[in-house]
Amino acid sequence: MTGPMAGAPGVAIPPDGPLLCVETSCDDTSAAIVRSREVLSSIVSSQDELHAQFGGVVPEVASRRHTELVNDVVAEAMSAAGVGWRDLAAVATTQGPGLIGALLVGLAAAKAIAYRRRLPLIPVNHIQGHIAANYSLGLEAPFVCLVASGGHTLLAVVEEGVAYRVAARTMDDAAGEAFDKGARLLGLGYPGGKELDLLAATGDARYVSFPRAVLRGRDFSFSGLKTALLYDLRGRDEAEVEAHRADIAASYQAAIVHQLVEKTAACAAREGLRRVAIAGGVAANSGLRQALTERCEAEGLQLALPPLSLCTDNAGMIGLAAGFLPALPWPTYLDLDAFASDSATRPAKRRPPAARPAHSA
Amino acid sequence: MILALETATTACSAALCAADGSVVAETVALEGPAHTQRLLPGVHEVLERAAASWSDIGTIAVGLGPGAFTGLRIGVATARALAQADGRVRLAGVPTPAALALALARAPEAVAHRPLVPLIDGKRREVFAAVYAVDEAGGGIRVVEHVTVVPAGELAAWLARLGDILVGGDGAVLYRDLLPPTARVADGVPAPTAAMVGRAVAREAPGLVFGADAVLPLYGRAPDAARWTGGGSAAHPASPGGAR
Ligand SMILES: [Zn+2]
Repeated sequence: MTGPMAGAPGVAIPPDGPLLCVETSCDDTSAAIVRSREVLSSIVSSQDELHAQFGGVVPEVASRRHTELVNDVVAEAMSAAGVGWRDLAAVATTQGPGLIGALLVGLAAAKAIAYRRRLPLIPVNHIQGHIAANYSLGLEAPFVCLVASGGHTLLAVVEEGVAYRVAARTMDDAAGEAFDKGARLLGLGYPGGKELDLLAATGDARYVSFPRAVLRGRDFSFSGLKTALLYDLRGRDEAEVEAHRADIAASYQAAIVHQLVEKTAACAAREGLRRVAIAGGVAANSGLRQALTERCEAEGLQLALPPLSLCTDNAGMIGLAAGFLPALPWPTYLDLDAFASDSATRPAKRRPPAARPAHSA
Repeated sequence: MILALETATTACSAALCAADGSVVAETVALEGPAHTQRLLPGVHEVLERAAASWSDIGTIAVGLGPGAFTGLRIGVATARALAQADGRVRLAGVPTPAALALALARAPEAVAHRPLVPLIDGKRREVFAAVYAVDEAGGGIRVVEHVTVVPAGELAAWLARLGDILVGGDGAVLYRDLLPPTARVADGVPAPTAAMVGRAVAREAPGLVFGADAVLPLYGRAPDAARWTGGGSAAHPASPGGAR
């Protein structure tokens, strides 16, 4: 359903052969060269400035930009790694989930390159890419991975390689969405999550006590927090908001972080796992990194914190995941399609009751 | 030879053409699954059928649109990446209406001095329309009016002012009932195809461009987001406002 299943017919590729990797699932155009577990080069052309004028990612604008940039980004990744066309062992690309129009640009380019060079193609699930970023740190499975970004928030129990089971997910907004929406309410610039993180670092997180009662279930929920922030701001006059913007931001961020940390720790305890990892754009949040570090230290858990460059969307992580996935032999992949969502990224409340929220490689 | 792709409409096709534009092998599917599932299999098929190798191909050409955005991007991204990974071929782009107009000029319904009007479905009940004329000297075509977006409701009046014309393309099929009596439909030109693109390269159709800097989609319309900034949508404030 979402790419090759484990055990699907794959073609052997040399373990030390460089992979050309492409990722265009949202608003960053990225290409990388990855060899076994080493990211030789990873080029990310951010579209932040382009989307700032709209206050958020506009899918059509992102897709247009990917079309203009993807070839240059590929060329740059290859020259940065000192790799030529004849050196490549395979091409890896994000197949989904993500913005469908954006995904299709990278997929079309990756398929065409693989086809022309007579190379195998490795379709990669974007979430598995985020998880695999942790393998650059020498982490070993099994572990619990908090995957949180503007598009997805879930707890993955990683059993082996990039095969995982969804232990919890968001019932409404993604954590990154909660940060961005909060930033918008606080009148901060774009991208909101980053701005909010910077401002929160200078504020007092005890200034507003946002509701934390949501902690009962396994799943995440952020829409209530966003509403609470809206009402809190409505209850204050402009001068007060002006004077305490950093304090409100810090309180709001702390409430999101608290939920992420508590649910991650609870999941590790429930699953009997001693290793915790983190992935996705929200993993770049300094408040989250600090709180999770403290919590894991207190509980004696081993924590993997990937470098920021591997947390936000990038093609390097796609290559790290590709090493665990079957390569489709030339030219069996020519009709391969992208997918916008899968069972792991749909909100919990829309999950059919009988379906097991599992996703494996 | 020329390897040509065309994906601006629901039709999806790949063609291998000789340097003079004649078709060596072609796959055309007027409708079907998404372009991403049809385009490269089509390329593979024409190469196999013609027993051609990449060293036989001197040019990779693609129809630039306008048309449906996602399809255009798949065609253009595929052509650009094939050319990039080849490293040797020339990359060419043809405005899709020019490719259609050249096909109209050769249609049995064509009459001397009659304007050629390619019509491409622009969705949302709009049509991309342009006007071409046969260039008597060179046997090619020239642009009379550049591509413009015409609401379906205004199509009859927009076309009627041109007098007797020959129309074709998926817009002509879709809005056949809205055409004025002065418009003759070329039945053999229901949609732009890759063979038309290949021929447009061989005949140096107006608007033909070369190289990765120039071979990019002709969208014919700004993205919706650009409309938001003009309107200042409340759901997506264009600039950070104060706390509400
Ligand atoms: Zn992501």
